[in-house]
Amino acid sequence: MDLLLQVIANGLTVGGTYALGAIGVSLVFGVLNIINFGQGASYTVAAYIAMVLMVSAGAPVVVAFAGGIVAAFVVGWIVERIAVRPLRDQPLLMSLITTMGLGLIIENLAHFIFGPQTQPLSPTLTADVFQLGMITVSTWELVTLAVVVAAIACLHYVLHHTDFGTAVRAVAEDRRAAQLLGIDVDRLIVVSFCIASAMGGAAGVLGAALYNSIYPTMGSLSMTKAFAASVLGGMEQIAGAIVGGLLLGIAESVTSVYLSSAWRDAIAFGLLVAVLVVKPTGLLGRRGLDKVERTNLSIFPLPPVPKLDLRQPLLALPIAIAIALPLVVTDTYYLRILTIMAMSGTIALSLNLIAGFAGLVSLGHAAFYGFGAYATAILSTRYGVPTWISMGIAIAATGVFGALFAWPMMRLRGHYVAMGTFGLSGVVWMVMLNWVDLTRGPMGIRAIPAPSFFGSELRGVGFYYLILAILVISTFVVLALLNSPFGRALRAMRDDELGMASVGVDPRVIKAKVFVVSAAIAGAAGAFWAHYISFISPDSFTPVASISYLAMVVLGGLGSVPGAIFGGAVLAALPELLRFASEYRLAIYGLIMVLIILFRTQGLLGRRHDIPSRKAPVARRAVVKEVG
Amino acid sequence: MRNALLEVTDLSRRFGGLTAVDGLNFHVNDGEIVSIIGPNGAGKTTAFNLITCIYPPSAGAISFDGLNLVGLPLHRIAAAGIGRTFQNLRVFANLTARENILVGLTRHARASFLETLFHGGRFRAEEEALAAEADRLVALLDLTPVADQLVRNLPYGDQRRVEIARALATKPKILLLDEPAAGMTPPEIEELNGMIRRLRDELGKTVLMVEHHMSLVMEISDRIIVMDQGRKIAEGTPDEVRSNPLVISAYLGSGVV
Repeated sequence: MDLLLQVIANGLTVGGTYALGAIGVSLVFGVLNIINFGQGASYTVAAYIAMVLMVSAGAPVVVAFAGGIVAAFVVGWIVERIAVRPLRDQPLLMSLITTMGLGLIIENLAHFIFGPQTQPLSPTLTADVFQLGMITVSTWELVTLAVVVAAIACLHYVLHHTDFGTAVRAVAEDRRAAQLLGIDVDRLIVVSFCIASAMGGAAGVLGAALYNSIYPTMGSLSMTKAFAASVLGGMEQIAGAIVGGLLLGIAESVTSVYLSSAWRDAIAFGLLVAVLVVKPTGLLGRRGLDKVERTNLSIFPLPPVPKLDLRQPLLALPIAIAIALPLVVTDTYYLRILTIMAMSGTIALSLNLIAGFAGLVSLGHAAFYGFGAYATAILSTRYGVPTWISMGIAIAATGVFGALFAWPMMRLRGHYVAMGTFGLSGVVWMVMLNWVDLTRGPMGIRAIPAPSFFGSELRGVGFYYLILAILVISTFVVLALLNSPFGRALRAMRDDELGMASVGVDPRVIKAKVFVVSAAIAGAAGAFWAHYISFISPDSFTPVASISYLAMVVLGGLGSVPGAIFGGAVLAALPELLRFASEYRLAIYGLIMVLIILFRTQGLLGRRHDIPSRKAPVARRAVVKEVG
Repeated sequence: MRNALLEVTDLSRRFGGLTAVDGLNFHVNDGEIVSIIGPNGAGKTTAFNLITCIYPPSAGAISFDGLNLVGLPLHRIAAAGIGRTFQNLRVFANLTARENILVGLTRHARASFLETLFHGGRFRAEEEALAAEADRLVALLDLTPVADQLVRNLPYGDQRRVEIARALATKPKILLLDEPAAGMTPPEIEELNGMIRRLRDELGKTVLMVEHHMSLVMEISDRIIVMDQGRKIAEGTPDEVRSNPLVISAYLGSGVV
């Protein structure tokens, strides 16, 4: 009993920091109807600024913490001005990509300045411990709870008892109407964004103080938990975010004590998925999905789909060049880069089916790629299955896995799909990391055999031709499907699901098929990778890796087949060629995502939209609103 | 009396406290053109959405061609033989007019996954047949000059005709048109008038439509159903409805007709 109380008390404190972050997520979602995937940067920046103030400037703790929170406030301003405001009239999903990109850049900046290692917030930071009845609490736990309560009280007062708060709620209900009433919507949005970011910053410094440790990617993990808490509470509900945060904290605390601490971080991912599957509106949500439907991407016409005809130069020429390249490029290092380029092109090609053509922004692609890699690695090392057969099985299994993966996504739209796939990808990653008996956990799987071809083991050039074959076959499969009734339905679904259903095509069937094909192709790339590199570990298959695949598709142009392959190849080659920058690969990806969306939204090879963009988001309305 | 193709019995739908459709009864016979009219908020579009299974009724029955429609998912109504258009267009804006129609034909495609992958003989033959059918519909709805333009770039009246063509592509027995004349110019409405008649007379389609444009409704309809506040308040030929005092007071007011 004592232990349980203690566990719950610990969970409440940590949950308090999750609640703060979740409030930030919910506030932004309520006002702008977008999810700020750059929220993680607020945590990181606030914590590092607090550390600098304390350790380098010798500032008192209170000043340092306030400084950190102010810095997070400024980060909010930067993110809003750069990644959100310029895209006000674009499909809402565009800001998902830019905020994510900006978040990656800022996080990597911390990495650049302070190094990748985990360090103490302050070496002199101490905590007294008190006995409160049956439970023990530390100063930091008490401070955390006090700050959480104070922050929530302040926010409640501001939202419900000031003109500013009334205006915020008015904008959340109907931005255009609020604008007509003379509310300065731009200012209000930026201030809300800053407040949300400051909430994240507060969570960042408090979390750092609780564990007295900081590291550059701390923000991403905290952000995941804020998402989970916010979704659990019903997205738009401040009260829901608080309840969600506290519940998540307690659930984690209970899990790590009574089950296993290894699975602690899996709770957030699992919860995210479970809530979205079972009750997407969350515990306290009212409105749910109808507000989210406007996140469509259909503002962009897709570039013409190349015909499936080998005689056209667009198809024949690149294939001929790719086949001839090893005659010129004999250096093993460059051959290796070419191989990686072809592999990334394959993955981007497959993700483009989901993100570009189906219009579902999936942040879960690393799960497919990783599933294929692990499936073939486990089959060939543990069960001695011949490599070609195990690769075949891995591809088929990943396809099936894709269908399972798609099933919970069926009911979701827009940002919810992004969060759901992100969560699922996290669950898969956690399984790779923690199901040690099967996957060998963080140690990874070694000595994965190379396939043999006519009696000799595949080596450098052989591997290059293997992945090239996979890429070419995949391209043919994709083009064959796009140039068919299925392909037309796929593109139609991106424009209007309801319209498509009304002509007798079930959107769920289309989605399931597209996920199966996409997953199988990504699985083929993963299976190739496992045998090529002969060692795999969960590090290559994190949700962050999924984001980099999305960056490839965005660079090439959502919905452009050559664009995706091109984007994948270029982004894979870039960090290799810029050796000095390879550590900042993610920052480069982030920068590309931001720049492309801001200045060439349709991507390098996408098609520009040629009519005024203001009309499209209005034309789309939820079914419910069509009531005569 | 001919057989009723569509029969709606005691249909009701509540949204929270609002009863949008309240005990509605009507039928549509094979080969008829029937219009539902009524003031804004009378429940016309809700009735359409109930018949096409966009949401389930709170009570009542809908039977179409001997099939109970209640509880059917939206994507099954096309197979049942119902095609519809929407009040605020739901065309595929980033596809061409022809492609919109081809998507409407998707449910007739039979080629298997493998045949599609290898673009085999049957697949190619089928694609040609679908393309020919699309061409026929393009011509039927006078869309030839704009067939290969993106629908988003077409004028409103053309977009409406694309949507009708798309619905026709599913080969429906009945076509439900939700305010087909909305946003059309008078000459376009005149064309629409002729077109709807052709659909019935030449293609044998039954038409049920919601429409505000009175002269079109009066000219074209075999029967008119008048709704107000979720209920049917009158039904009859255009002449009967025109002279019905209930209708005049509830909807038409004075001096409209």
